[in-house]
This record gives sequence, C-alpha cells and structure tokens, in this order.
Amino acid sequence: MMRDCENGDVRDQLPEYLHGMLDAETRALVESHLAACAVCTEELGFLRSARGAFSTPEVDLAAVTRAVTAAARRAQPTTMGAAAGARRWRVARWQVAAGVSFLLVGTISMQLLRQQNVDGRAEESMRDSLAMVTPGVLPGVLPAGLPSPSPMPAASGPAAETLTARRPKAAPASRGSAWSDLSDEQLQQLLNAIDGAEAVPGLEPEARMAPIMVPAGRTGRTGGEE
Amino acid sequence: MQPPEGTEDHAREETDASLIARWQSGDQRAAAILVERHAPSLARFAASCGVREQVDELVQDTFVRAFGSLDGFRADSALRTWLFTILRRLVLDRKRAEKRRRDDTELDEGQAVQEYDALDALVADETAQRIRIAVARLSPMQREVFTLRVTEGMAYSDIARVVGSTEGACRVHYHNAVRVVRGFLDDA
Repeated sequence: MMRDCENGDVRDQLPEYLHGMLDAETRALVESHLAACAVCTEELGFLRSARGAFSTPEVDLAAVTRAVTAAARRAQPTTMGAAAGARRWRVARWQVAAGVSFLLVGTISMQLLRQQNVDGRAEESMRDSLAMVTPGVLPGVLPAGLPSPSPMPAASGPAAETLTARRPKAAPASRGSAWSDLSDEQLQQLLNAIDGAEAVPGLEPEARMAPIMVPAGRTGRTGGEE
Repeated sequence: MQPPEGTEDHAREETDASLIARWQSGDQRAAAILVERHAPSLARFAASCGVREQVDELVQDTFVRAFGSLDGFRADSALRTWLFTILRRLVLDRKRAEKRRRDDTELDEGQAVQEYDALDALVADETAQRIRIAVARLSPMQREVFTLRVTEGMAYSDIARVVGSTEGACRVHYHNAVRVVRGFLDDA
C-alpha cells in the first residue's frame, strides 16, 4: 500500500536530490529526513528506477552540430541582405525627410508671399475706397474751394500709379491738406453727399421669389400684391 | 580551481549564456558543446513523449530552430528550458500529423510503447518495463511533467514554461502521476 510522507517539503525535493541539484544545506536536511523516513526512502528508490527506465536514444551529435552550422551559414546571406535593406531604408528615410522639409519650407514661403499680396490688395482696396470719397472722384459733391484731403500718405509703385490715374487731373488734390483741415460744415456736406450717393449694386444674384399660390376659389388680396 | 581558459575542460564548464555569446561571435565550437550538453536530455524527453522514430531528426530540428532564432532568446530563461519548449512543440506537431494520417493517436501511442517494450524486453528489467507502460498510460500533461521532473530534474517553474502551464498545476500533475505509476506497479 502506497503512503505519502507528511513532510511534503522534503518529499517535493526528492527529484532535485536525485539529480544532485540541491545546495549543501538542503541536501543535508533531506538526507537526515531520509535516514528516518521509510516512505520517502521508498519513493526515492521508485524515482531512481523511473529515471533509469527511459534509455536515451542515440543521437549523432556531430550531425546535429553540422546541421546547425549549415543552417546558420544559409541564414547569413539573408541576414546580410536584411542589413543592406536596412541601410537602404535609412538612406531613403533621409531623402524622404529632406524632401518633406523642402516642401514644407516652400509651402510656408508661398503662404507668406500670398499673405503679403493679400495685404497689398487690401491696402489698394482701402486706397480705392478713400479715392471714392475724394472730391475728384465725386465731382461736385464738395463745394468749390473745399480742400481735397490726402487719404493716404505718399505712395509709390503700381498701386500708387493706379490711384493717381483714377484721380481727375482737372481737380488736382492739394498736397498737404487733410481731413482735419475741413470745417464742420464742409464735413457735414461731405457726409450728406456720401449718404446720397447711389450704392454700388451687389454682385450676388437677386433671390428668386417663389410665386405665391392662391388656393382655388379664394379671393382677396395676398401679401400686398395688387 | 577552474580549468585554464581555452581548454576543453574550461569550455565544458562555461555557462550556456557564455557559449551562446561565443557562437554569436562566430565560434562554431560553442555550438558543438551546447549540442553535446543538451541533445541527450532532449532525445530522452522525446522518447518519453512516445516518439520512437527519427528522434535524432527531432533533436536536430530543435537545435536548428533554436540557433536560428537566438536573437529572440530571452536571457532570463535558461537555454535548456527553451530547447525543451521547442522540442515539445515539434513533438506535438508530429503527433498532429500522425493523427491526421491515422485516426486514433492514443491507440498508436500504446502500440508504440508495446512495440518498443517488445524490442527492448530482452535487455530491460521488468520494473523499468512496467514503469514505461505505466508512464505511457498517463495523460499527456502528466507524462510530460513527470518525465521532466523525474528524468531531467527540472524545477516546477521551468516545467511550467515548457508545457505552458502554472507552477501549481505542474506540482499537482506531478504528484498525481507519481500516484498513478506507483499504483500501477503495486497492482502488478
């Protein structure tokens, strides 16, 4: 009848003891237990028999080593190929990074230039607006003798040329005058003239009015239409 | 006293990690020492798992695979444990292939053990023969744990890595296996 030893710790270490894997202290502990425990001594005998029951099949160690070496030799070009590929990829990555940087710098430069152009157009638009309210552009609005204001400081370049071209030669602006030179009465007249000027029609198409359908049999006026 | 460096004795006392480093630096003798050190245990384990044919081929495949992926080998686990893990997978693959060819794997394993026993009966003693039969009747997990523990002296933690289980479960499998085998011997 098989029995189990109550000292599970020692019993659990019997395989290690069998294979000589215990340190000196633990080995001494196990040996002192074995000297007094018939159950563990019997189990150790069983383990020794079980260990010897399985013979080791013959293996050609030299053949295994040759196979390992040959496989490593076959794998070597692949490894080298992989390394070369990695190098190529590193170069390609630098090229891609350089290209992206170039595109980025170019895009930012284009945006800055475009922004400057927009600012220039805005400035020109402002000049045009001011030109619209100058006496030369609105002839007859200002009374005679009213000094023509200088809406913008002295400008140069194409925008300034355009502005000059639009200004009538018959009513040259007197240099050095400004809005602050106008009297209150003159300013009021100028504002009235601006209010009375016809607004430039918008470019947006007029909204289409949906025809109002009058239900059959119903008479009467609809929405102010005659 | 340690043997002088460069001698055969010194090489045999080198750790697996040191030999792996030598192999990776191009020293092919390191591979020979590692094969000599671990191949017999692997062959024994394969045989105890029921492999009877071309055990050396399995062992060779194990080493080729292991050396082919040494870069992925984690130094925190022993090379020996890793080799057993690879071998176990190869054994399972082979068994699955055999199962596809034949329908009843368990019956084949029993037959294989009996055939093996019949061949070896003349040279093996009766107790060893009965132990082999008893071990062959264990469940695959019990058999693997029992073999790794008894014939290889492997710790539960390493066995758990090899068979893909927990340390506690391996402990239970081992004691159940001992009980079954010893019970079989007592009944005979």
